[in-house]
Amino acid sequence: MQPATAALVRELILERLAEQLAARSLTPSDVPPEFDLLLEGLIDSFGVVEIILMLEQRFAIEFDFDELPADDLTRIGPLAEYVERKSAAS
Amino acid sequence: MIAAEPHGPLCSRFLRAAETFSDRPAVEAAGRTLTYGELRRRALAIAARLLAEDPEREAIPLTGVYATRTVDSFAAVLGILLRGHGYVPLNPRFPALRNREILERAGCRAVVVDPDHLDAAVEVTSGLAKPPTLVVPTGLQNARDFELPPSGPATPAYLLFTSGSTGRPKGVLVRQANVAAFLGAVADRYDLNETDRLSQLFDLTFDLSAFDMFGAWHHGACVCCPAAGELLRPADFVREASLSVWFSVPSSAMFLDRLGGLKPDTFPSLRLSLFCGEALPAELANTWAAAAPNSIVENLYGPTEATIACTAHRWEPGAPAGANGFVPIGEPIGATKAWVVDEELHEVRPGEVGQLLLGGPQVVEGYWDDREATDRSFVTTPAGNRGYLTGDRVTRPTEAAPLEYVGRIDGQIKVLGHRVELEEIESVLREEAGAEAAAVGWPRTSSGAAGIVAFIASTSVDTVELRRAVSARLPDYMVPRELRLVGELPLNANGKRDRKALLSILEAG
Repeated sequence: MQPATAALVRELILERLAEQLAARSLTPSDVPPEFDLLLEGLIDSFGVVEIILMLEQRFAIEFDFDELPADDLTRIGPLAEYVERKSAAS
Repeated sequence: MIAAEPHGPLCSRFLRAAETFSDRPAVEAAGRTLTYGELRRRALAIAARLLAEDPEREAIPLTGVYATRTVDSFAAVLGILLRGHGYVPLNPRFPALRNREILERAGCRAVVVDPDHLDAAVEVTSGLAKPPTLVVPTGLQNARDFELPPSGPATPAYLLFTSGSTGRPKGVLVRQANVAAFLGAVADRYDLNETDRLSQLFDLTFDLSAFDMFGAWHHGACVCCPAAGELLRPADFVREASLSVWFSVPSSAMFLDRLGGLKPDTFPSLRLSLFCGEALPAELANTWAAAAPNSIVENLYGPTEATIACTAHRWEPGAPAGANGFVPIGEPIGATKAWVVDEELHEVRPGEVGQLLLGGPQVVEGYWDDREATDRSFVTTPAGNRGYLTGDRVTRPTEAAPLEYVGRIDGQIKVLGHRVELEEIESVLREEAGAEAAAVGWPRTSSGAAGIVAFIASTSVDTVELRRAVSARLPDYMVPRELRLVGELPLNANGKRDRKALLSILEAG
């Protein structure tokens, strides 16, 4: 299994949202770390759930929501860094 | 004179409620509220605009609606119904190709578009041979001096497309009479009234959304949509919206539990908690019951073909779970009939497992423009019962026991409540990868909902490109969480695809 790096996680998420980004004329490199996937309307709450489940499965980790503030859950930078930390610890 | 009679049951019940409860809230979304009076005015104005755009009586009485959950999209749904058409929901979160296929198959001549999504809607429709008129409901005049076209029980309510095992989504046309039969059943069961406030957590492309809308609007109640992200803080949403009725898929509740949102006494305002769309684990139902101590907890069951939900089971916390630790799916509601049948369509005995066959006024006539699929699933039994074969394996442990869901007869799985045919994903993968492909359901665990992993019989396919291509054709919930390249796909002794062997590859990590 590939280890999770924040860069890889970010790439996976943005790859998943390629269509939605394109619809807003954004390319992955336009997306800053503080970009909030939910508030920017790229996904809804179900989409958040689906991305978290994808990351958990892909990197064999389990999110601990006590460790990750709700605001960070939907921001791509903090989310990717959390997955990297979690994956390194498991 | 605005309201010409007769109207279909969905229209007439709404118009009556709008008169009685004119100043009460009908819908709340994204910080905006419309009272019944306002919702009626907007809906009538949209109906008038649609009629003006297209005064001819269309052979196919269907109009699209391209919108997310905003107050305007709800007005659009009602406007389309008042114009005498069924609504065909398109989803801005679906790929353009998917939306285009829906429009093409439905043959809509007009689409009501949320102004925020106009560019995307233009992209969707411009690729069509006969692009429909896009109607943006802004600057609407109050409707005056026009007669609504008549509608009736046989008028379409909505046309939805659900995953199809042949690689093509299946259309399900639900008529006003089907929805009215469902609403009659739930009115008796839940005693909905004008003080109720219902959650609305579903996109219009998911038929469960019809329960919240029409369930509320028949009784003067209010539908409440959470703002973006509010669902991740469910206690705040339920409290701020003063919800009395919660309706979601179990996966949502499971996720809220993981977020720490289901502590005891979190939702004291709820009087009714309803779950539908996938199997409900008994343990989760118990946790929910403690979080919502004043609430009845019910498990509903029903495929789109039998209109929203057609069986229900009231859960007593701590009661023994049914098959696989799930809450039973219970008994048919209203005038629905449910039989458990074997392969020859004879009823099986209590204790035996069979396929669930559904009949009654909630069951639709067949699939939209698909005789073959209709003939496969809509059948008459030797005993003369006409019904829809669900593909769900169920059992009634004893004659008096409620029905229990056991599993599927085919490759259909549920992802966050959405129905997904693995064969549909496989056919898209095959086309895009130019190689054999197999999709398997990643089983649901205590920590999360089921998902999809796909295996491609190739060593050279670019998975990043493949994912992009698949995402351009399938809704997000159908895109595999992972694409794995394998030299070849394992076959079982019968020469069929061996999903068990594929699952063991996954388990090996």
